[in-house]
Amino acid sequence: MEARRIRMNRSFKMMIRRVYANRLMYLFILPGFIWFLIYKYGPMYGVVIAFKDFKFSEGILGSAWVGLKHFQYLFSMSDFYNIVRNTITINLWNLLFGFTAPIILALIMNEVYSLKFKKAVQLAVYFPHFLSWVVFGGIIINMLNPSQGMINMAIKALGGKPVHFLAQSKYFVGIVVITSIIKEAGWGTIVYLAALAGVDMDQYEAAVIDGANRWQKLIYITLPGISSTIIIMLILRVGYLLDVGFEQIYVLYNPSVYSVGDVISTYIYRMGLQNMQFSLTTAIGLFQGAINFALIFTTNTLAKRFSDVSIW
Amino acid sequence: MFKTYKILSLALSALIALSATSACGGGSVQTEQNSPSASSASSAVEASTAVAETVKSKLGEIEIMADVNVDVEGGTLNENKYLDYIEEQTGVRIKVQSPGSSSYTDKVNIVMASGDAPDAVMIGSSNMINQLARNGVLTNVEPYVTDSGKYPLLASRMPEAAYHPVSNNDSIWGVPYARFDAFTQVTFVRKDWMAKLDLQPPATLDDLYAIMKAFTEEDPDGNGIDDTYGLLGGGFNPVLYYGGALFRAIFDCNTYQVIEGEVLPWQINPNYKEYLKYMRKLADEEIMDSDILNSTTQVMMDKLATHKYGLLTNFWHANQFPGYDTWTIGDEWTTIDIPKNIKGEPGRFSYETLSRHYAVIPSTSKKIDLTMTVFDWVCSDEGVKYVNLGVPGSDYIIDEEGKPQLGTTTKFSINWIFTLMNPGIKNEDTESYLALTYPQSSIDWLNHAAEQGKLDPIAVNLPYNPDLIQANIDKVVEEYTSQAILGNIDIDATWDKYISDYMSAGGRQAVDFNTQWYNSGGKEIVGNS
Repeated sequence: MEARRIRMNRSFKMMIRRVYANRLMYLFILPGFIWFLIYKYGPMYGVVIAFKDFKFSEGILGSAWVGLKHFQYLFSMSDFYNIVRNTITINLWNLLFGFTAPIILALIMNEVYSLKFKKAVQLAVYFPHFLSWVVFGGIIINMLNPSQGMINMAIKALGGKPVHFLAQSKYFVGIVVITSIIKEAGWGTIVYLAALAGVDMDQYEAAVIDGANRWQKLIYITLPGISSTIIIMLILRVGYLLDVGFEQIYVLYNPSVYSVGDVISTYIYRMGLQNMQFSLTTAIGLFQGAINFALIFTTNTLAKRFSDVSIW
Repeated sequence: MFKTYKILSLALSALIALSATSACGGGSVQTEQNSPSASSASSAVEASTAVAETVKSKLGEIEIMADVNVDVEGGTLNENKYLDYIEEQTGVRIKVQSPGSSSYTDKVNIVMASGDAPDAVMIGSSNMINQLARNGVLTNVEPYVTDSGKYPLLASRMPEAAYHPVSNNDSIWGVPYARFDAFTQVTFVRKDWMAKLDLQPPATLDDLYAIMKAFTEEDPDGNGIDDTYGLLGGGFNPVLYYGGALFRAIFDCNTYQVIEGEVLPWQINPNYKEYLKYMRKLADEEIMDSDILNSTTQVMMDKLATHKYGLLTNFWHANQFPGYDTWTIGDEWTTIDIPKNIKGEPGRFSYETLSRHYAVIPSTSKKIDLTMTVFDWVCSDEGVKYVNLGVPGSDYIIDEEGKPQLGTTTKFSINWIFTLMNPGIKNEDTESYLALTYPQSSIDWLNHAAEQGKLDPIAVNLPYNPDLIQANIDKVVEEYTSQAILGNIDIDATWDKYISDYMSAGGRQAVDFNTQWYNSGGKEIVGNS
């Protein structure tokens, strides 16, 4: 027991010594740490309203405890399963195409030799990221407008009948995924381009001497070289499987596509902010957070087992 | 180097001290304004009219939250002649918070939840007010609005019926902005197109269809291009709420109705199915522009500005129609009667309330009497004149006969927003004010709108049902309505499923609640209203 106490004392002192030795580095971390503490951890106490009947006048602490009442209501709602299904569907398609698009784009850009052309392409693909969804979504809505939109005017000019793209459920998820790729794929390449810059050039030279063509270099050197980055990004992405960006859906959806477009975030907005059902929507948020944590934990464990790459 | 740091530190300390002093100073001014001296000043008002103007301005300040969606010409939101005039008349300075029109109600919800709400807040939905009242964040204004000793004008001039949607169990949770033009909607038609195509005003739905079809297919603007529409339907949520109002009136599905012993809302009235089929026909034949889903009011107005639409339902004054010089809208547009409905009776637009919105007093407000002082003044002759005409001297002047005449400034001032409430008085005086502000054509349209409207007697009397707050009925209706009109579903094949979805989304509970109320005394209330 005594030996254990001495050991703990020693390791604590060593930790203090290490922190002191790297004090400047820790100083850099401090603002971010404080930010997290205030804006991320501080408000977490509000999560208790998921187990209370929150009343404005009584506040978070004063409102009455109701146990799992809101969760029971949630799981008895048929609408809840629809919004969870819609959220997962959109995210799975986004995972399949939205996650791979920046990787492919980065690999293509990495093969471009002309620096000027590369920079021009980068500028073009990064730009949409800086537009808000309100602006970008507005452009998409105008383009797809059934009477005056560019796409439908082209269809009419070719003798076709205009299509109300945004009013039909069968197109909606596709539009969400494609617009998401157009807007964010370029920006997503940054991390992969950085990873590509770190791949050892000697390996390419050795491969050329061994007679490898460009495809073989891509498959046997480039992709393995950035695989750890891809895995880390995948783990982080899977953690958002129950989380679809509110702005994009809110801007693009309309009543006729509620059946496929109503997702957790829009439901929370409608019931929480518009109908003042803060306890119910906090319960949804808590459920969402718990599932996301489970997903990120599982993916990380699998990644650790099969590739030795993980975020912890 | 050390000296420089020292100087900087001293300068910084001095700055902080200065800020702290000025902050404390501000606080003391505030305290002075709210101190008992305000009430003694109030007594002075009664003592001397001459002194009154000076003393009144010291009564205090209230903070209000309102959706101010137009510019304050010649001033700022908090520094303008309208607020100055209210202060001059009541002694109360109003400070306005305006978070913008976009998602205004969401912002109000957040402010109310924060526990740091202003002294009065503009809210449009009576359901939202009742929900806030259940959350315990509103003041019951019943003791104030009925206090004929303290607020005699407010107690006597506000129509009692206007309080109904925000009243329950002897409590009143808001002061209404009652409209003198409670029936706002009227159907406009292009009279120049009618003349060119030799068309007569419609008496039946078939006549109306013939007009819209002719507008669509017979090139009424004479440009040789097939680019006109018979009907402008888009704009506003839920889908075609305004755009389809004319047709819901014709199909007799715009009010609550008692069908087979149950009180059914119009959204599940069997006639609503026929209405949907008709609207779909108009969309299919491109008589109605099918871009109805993502149309905001602005998009609707932009479309109207193209002069390619022949018919629409809108506010009686039509002064927001874009692309027209002042008072020239009547050269192109006129109003028509609603054709007979499917029962052969005159069609009527339906309304669920007399009020535009309500002013609620958060329970945190410590200045209820100041707010009520302003409200009481709004009910006075001067206040009514202010709401209708604006500020004397600039917006209007009094002629030698003592009658108001239009002044030099804009006709559509925003004075009325700052009062938050309005008794909605309509008499000879207010009609003469209207005649100053609007051309004769608009006055005619207002009278036409009054003839063409009716209150839904059940909707206006139905008590608030708190259990419906978690229901998702609107979503079901909006989704089905838009899919039906745009042709994404077979209406006949899916109608029963729609009714079933509606009922399971909370509709069953609502119908049972309403029917029970109707059968246990509601029927008599409806009959007497």
